[in-house]
Amino acid sequence: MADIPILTLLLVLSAAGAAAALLVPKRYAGAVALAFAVLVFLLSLLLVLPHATTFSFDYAASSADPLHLQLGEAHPWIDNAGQPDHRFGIWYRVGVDGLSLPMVFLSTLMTMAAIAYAIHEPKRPNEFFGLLLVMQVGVLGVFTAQDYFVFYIFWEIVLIPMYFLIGIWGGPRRDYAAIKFFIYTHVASVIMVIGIMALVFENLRLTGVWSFAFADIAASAPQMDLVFKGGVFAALFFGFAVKMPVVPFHTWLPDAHVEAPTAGSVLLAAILLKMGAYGLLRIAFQTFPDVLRTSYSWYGIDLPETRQILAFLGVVSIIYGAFICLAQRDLKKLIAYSSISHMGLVLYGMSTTTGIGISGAVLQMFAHGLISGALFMVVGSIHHGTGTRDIPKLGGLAQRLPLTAAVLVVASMASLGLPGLASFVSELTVFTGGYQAYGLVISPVSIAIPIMGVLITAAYYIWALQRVLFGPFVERGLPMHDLPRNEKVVLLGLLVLIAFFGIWPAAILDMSTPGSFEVASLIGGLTAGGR
Amino acid sequence: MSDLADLLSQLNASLSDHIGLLPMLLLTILALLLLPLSQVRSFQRGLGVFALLGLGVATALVYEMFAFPHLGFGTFERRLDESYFGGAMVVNAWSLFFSAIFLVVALLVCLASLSEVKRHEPHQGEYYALLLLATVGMLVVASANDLFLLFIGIEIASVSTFALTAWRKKDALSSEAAIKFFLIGGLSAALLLYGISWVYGATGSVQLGQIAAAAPHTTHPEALTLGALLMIAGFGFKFAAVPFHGWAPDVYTGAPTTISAFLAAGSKKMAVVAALKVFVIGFGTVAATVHWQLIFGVLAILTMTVGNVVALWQTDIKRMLAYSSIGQAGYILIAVAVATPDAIAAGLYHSLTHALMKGGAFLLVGGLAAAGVGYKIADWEGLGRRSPGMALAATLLLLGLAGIPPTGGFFSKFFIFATAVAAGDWFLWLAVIGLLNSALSLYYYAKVIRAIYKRPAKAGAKHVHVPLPYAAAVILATIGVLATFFFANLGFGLASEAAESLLTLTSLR
Repeated sequence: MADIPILTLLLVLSAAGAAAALLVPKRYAGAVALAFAVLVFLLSLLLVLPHATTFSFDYAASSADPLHLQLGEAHPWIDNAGQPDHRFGIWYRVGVDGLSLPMVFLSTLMTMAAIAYAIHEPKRPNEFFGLLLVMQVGVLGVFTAQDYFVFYIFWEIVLIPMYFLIGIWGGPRRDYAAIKFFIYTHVASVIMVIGIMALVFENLRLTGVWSFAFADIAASAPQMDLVFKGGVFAALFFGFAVKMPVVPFHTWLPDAHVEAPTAGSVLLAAILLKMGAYGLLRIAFQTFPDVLRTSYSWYGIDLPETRQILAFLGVVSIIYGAFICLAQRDLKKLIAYSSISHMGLVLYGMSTTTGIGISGAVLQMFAHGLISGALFMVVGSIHHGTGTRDIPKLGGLAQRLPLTAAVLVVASMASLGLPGLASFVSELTVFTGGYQAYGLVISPVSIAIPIMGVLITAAYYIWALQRVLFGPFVERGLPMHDLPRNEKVVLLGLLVLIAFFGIWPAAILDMSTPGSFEVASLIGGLTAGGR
Repeated sequence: MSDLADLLSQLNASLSDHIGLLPMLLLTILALLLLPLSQVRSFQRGLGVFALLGLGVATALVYEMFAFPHLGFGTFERRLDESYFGGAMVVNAWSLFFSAIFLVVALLVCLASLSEVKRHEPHQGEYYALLLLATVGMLVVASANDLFLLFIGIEIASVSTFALTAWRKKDALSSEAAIKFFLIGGLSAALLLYGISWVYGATGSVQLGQIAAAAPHTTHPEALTLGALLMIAGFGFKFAAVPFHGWAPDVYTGAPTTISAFLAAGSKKMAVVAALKVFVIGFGTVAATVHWQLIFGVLAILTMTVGNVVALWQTDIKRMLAYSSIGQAGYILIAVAVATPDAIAAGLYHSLTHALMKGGAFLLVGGLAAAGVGYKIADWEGLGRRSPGMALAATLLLLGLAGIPPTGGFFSKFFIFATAVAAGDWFLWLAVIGLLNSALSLYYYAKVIRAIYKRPAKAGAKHVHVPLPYAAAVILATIGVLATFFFANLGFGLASEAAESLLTLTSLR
């Protein structure tokens, strides 16, 4: 049993599901896709549960040696090892550690939820569900790859299904949104690939060996020139920052979200944004821990430490995203901008380079995945149920659609960080890390300002709830309906999980904390506070 | 009886001495047989099948010689590194790699021709005979080791393709394309021949190894440079490198689509073989004085940039593919400019993947046209629903041209850029510009994919039924494009072997 290549199996099953969904008759496409998604989810659940099977994640080994890969697989692909003119060194390498495992689990969970939510999709269901599963292949590949080449391939694979999901099943301005999404993220990945190639060639120059492995390049990175590393870090960061997205690279996100179909929005917010944050943590932080604590100077201007620049960008995203939310009329756009704010918090948490801060950032990624997924679903339901998402045209929905209203209230409360729900813990941990790193008020990136973001978040959610759910009912003469059964099941399930991880965050923290502290100690940040 | 046995054994011995030439001989004989056969009225449909079988046998022979040299049966033992006619022709891994590309393209084209050439059309025998002869010309170029033989091979292929372009002589576009092609082709042949004569004057030989040996000691280095320039221009026309590319879009648009596929996927690669051979071998010893690497580098930048930028504005798919083909030629020119063994192997691998992708794409256009779909990008709208299989093939082929996984084009471009960077020096910039071009090119390929899937079909558009031969050719090409991704290691290994065997030609005197 121990030899089962479980990670490859997840990828293959997702791909097989995509093919099956494309080939079966139209009316079975959703059911077949859901069956495969459930299967993949159950496998990943076995992976996560301690001691469930021989291929489960080994928590004890993980806390002893946090960044040691488990369930690793490595097969030469484009490589003529052993021959005199050795070249390329591209291997199919996958593996997980405590930092990637939560993301793998989140991906399978949210893909399953999105498919179940959208199971009655009437328009071209074969392609729709096929693309959702293709996207699952891409994201699982990104979260498990341990080789730059394989990572890049999966990274690109994610783009194409998302483009079509927005472009075919999207709203009225779908063409514009789809092409904007594609251009932004493609340019970002081209710049990222330039950074990757620079790394590979520098590694080749230093060691004389072709390799694309994360581990090999991280091992030779200490010998590289600090300025070179700063440049490569910037290229990689650009690639990841567009994906996250970090202000000012965020403008594709509101368009993409507003136009995307609900299932597409769910996957975009819940999983795709995490790719950027994960890439930053996995690649940029672990390969260049020293860059983060370096102060570069640029044409004679002395910059602050790199991590402080990241922290500053995080703070800007938090505050800017939150303020923009206040001004939104479209409920979906509001949630899109709130994603920018919450991903800013992830960046801020990572930039603290403390064990607690990074650990909180990983938990925030997971929590935001669940919560934003639930929020986009309920907004989708409101749109289906009432025919509009325009806040001024809504009002008093709580009277007519009590269940929808209840779900929206709980999901919004989760998003604004109500104690007992998942993101409370993560926000608290991130701010604890922030306090350790930057203090309360002593620097521009101290926690005083990002904490204000939480207040604004509370303000825009509560205000939006008030306008949408309460007050007099706005009669539009349209038929309305509450949640259909499948949406009810999915949404209530997600809410239960949000509460579960709020009460017992250790389920995720047990995976991510040892790795976070290890990364923090690589960087030389604070690791106090215990594991 | 014993006489007959003697004769057979003599024949056998003679054959086994010239086994490397067998594919060319076979195709020539078949081409000559096709002409009288075409007079048999009842055999019209059989002509294409006959040519197809011949190409199949020739491909099998090359495959046998290349991939399984140790699996010899009878006389078919390993014949790599054989030289014929006093070293004028060398059959080795290099020539076999290219022969394989040419034969695969010819096979796909011939297969598709079974439906492109309609039952009632005249001159079918000539069509297939010319197709086979053009292939023979390309095979000659692949194994020629002598400037004259190279020239003869190029001309056999060129003259055949001129005629093929004009095959539908009642079609105005086809005739216009042919006359342009002919005039430009004539000019480039003249330039080439003139260049050869200068090189001969400077070095006293037309054999590549001897040129390489004599070139550094020539008393007329300027004659050598002039000869090189003229030959670059000659190859440039064949290759459709900017600024010698003006004919290509018109010809590719006007010619019967199978022939466009043949030109873009096959005969263009002939110029790659010839240029690599002449410059890497013949001028390899004088790279420092003739600066041909720099010239090819500049040509590469011009070619890919102009090709990709102009392709952005095209609305006709054949024209778009023609400009994309120019852009792709630019990537191969990077490999010619860098000219390290790894870079040459990368250029070879891109030649292979490009032949599959571009050949497949042109054949797809032809197949859809045969099914009543037009040549404009707008005509392809809604294809995703009207013909899901062909739409998927189109997507994969176009993604391959753009260099997106999971297609061979992704790896071949990666190899070109990576080997250029690994070679260091200013070649780095070729890779950077190539990468930017590659990112740019995605836009126009994606435009077509978008039309296929995103736009609804026009009202009244029906399901598309691509004729079986066309569909088969496209599917084979698409499988090839996928295989060159997953088995890139194997493919690049073969390309490396071929590149190394090219470099051994230097030692042949």
